[in-house]
Amino acid sequence: MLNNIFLIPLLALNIGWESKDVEFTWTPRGSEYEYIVEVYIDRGMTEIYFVSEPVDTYHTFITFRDTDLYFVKIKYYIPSTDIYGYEYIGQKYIDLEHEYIGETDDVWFPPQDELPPIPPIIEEEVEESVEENNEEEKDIYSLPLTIDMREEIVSRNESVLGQSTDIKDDVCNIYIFKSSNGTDVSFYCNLGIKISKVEYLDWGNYLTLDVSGTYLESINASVKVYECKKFSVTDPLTWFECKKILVDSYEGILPLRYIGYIQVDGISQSSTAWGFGGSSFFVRNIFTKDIYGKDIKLALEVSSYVKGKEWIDVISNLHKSVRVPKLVKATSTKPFSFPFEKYIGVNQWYGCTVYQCPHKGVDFGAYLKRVISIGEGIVVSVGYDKYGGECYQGGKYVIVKHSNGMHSTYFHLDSYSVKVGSKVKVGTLIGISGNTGKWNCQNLGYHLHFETRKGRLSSTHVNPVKYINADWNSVPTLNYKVYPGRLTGENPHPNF
Amino acid sequence: MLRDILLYILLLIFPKEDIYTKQYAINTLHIPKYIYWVDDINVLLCSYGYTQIYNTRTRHMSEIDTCEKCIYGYDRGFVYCKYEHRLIESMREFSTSIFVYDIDGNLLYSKDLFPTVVPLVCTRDYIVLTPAYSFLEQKTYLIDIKRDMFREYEYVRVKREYNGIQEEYITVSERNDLERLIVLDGYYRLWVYEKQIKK
Repeated sequence: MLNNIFLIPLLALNIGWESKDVEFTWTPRGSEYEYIVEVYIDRGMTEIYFVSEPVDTYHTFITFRDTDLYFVKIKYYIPSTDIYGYEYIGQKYIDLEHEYIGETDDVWFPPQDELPPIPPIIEEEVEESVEENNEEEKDIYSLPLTIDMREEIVSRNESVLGQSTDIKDDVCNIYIFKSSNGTDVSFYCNLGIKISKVEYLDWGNYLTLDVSGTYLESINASVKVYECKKFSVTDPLTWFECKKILVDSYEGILPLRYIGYIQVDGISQSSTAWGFGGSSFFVRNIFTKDIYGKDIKLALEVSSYVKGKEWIDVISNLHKSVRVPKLVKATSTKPFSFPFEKYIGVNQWYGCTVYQCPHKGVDFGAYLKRVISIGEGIVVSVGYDKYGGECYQGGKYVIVKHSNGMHSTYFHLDSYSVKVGSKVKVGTLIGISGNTGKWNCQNLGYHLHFETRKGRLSSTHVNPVKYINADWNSVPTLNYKVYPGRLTGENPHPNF
Repeated sequence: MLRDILLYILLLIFPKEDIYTKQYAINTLHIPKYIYWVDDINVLLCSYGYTQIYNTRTRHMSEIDTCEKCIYGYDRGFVYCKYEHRLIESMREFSTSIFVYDIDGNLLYSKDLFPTVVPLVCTRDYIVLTPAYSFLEQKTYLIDIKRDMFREYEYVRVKREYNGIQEEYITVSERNDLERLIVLDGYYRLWVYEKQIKK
């Protein structure tokens, strides 16, 4: 258990910290292990802020340069082996301006003890009680074996666990063997996993590997569960070794769920973005060093649950080799750059979303972040926008006219640092993102509402994704699992 | 019988250690907004427009009728909270109406509110609400039905440690006696954990 984390402030400036070195320590797992600390800035764990260099000591320092809520986890592994794991070691709110490092937590399920007391529950009739006595005998499955499915070749009429498999083309054959040592799952299936696109791009200060393709959301399956027959005096085959007997089976449609990530030379990487939906998938990793020529695999954890006589859990880890192309420079003909110094996730995309139709821009979930000009131009308007009186306001805003005639707009700013007539270049500070403005007479959450327009009028809005030269796969939809509506609109990556 | 006595004696000699072990994943693609333990076995998985009762023993999942713009809850029987939103022009108006019904459709409570919110936890005694739109200031509110009071609800949630749960998780829903847990893991999968004595 890594439960002793210490945060030691090393720098203390009188007028706020410009950066903060924070030390993370953890309990050693053994001299053979190395560790990497990963820091995320989104509850959905989709945006990596920092990944430390591998260390073999039990502590490391991380320099924080931004105010934000951080989630920290440590990856531990034994080099040159496939032994690895993760530990979530906490979350901290770091406020550099007010010299504050605080404990916070995400708010999702309200804690029962802080609500009014829940009244005693009136017992209701439970559906059945037949299985009640079997509860103690419930099987607990251990981690499945890793099956290499690079070839996905099914050999005909092979014998598995002493049974003729009689494999059919369109049926996935799954054999589960449960013993006191755990559960082995053998997959003889074609899951229809096809990698259709692999992109390996150099974005200047980092490299990305994007793997996308298609998969089957369900398959026609034959599942058989075997166990060792209990010791029997009358059956000599049970005296000294395991006699496998069929204890459960299922034939029919097997719905499948996937999670996916990349492995480099057997070491699992935590994906910075991934999504499975509508029979297509996408997995992305960010690297700081070239991985060309290394053994790259797409690792998939596939799970399903079907009802035979009892419930049968099918959980298996599968691998598929990825042929990584040579690194190429990311190029784009889009005219503008990203409105922040680093990528920030999105709360609401442009277009017709479940929240607003049309939503004329992109809402970036930025909390007091430096907003920068997306291109060369001249500031044509600044001020406080009250488009709908007291109750509907865009807050502090800046509009920039660019040399190609297009306009970019920045709303709900906490402050702006340009005047009308100011000439701006790419990267010029426009202001600090905030939550000024109103909707339905209410305060807004912190975000930047950013628009690109063909002209100055709001009605000339166009999708910023089509004009901003950015690695949009590094700009995830924030917290989309909890708020699936956030995926809607003209999202450049509908899966995440 | 003899086995039980031996086990009891062993437990007296060697102090037991409870550990949570992963049992199985709940087969649902819907991530619930809130989980209610209806009793020691059944849980109510509630999200907007989709509500399921899940039996953690038999793994039987049954969907219950859902209504538009409402979320189910459990408190001495099933209840559901409906909401209506409207655009307003001044801060003196109400942008949300909340209604609590029992399973037979009898109105138990209603209230008009200024903020545009949706119910997250729905019971006969209180309702927890959150902003309806992701771009609004993210706050949590509470309606105390008995006192007919509405207030902002702030808290700092302490993340508990559970012996045996080492994976990163987002949230945990505990059965009253802590013998079983529903865990939402970092990949947004729901797992059933059960407390067992470490061997």
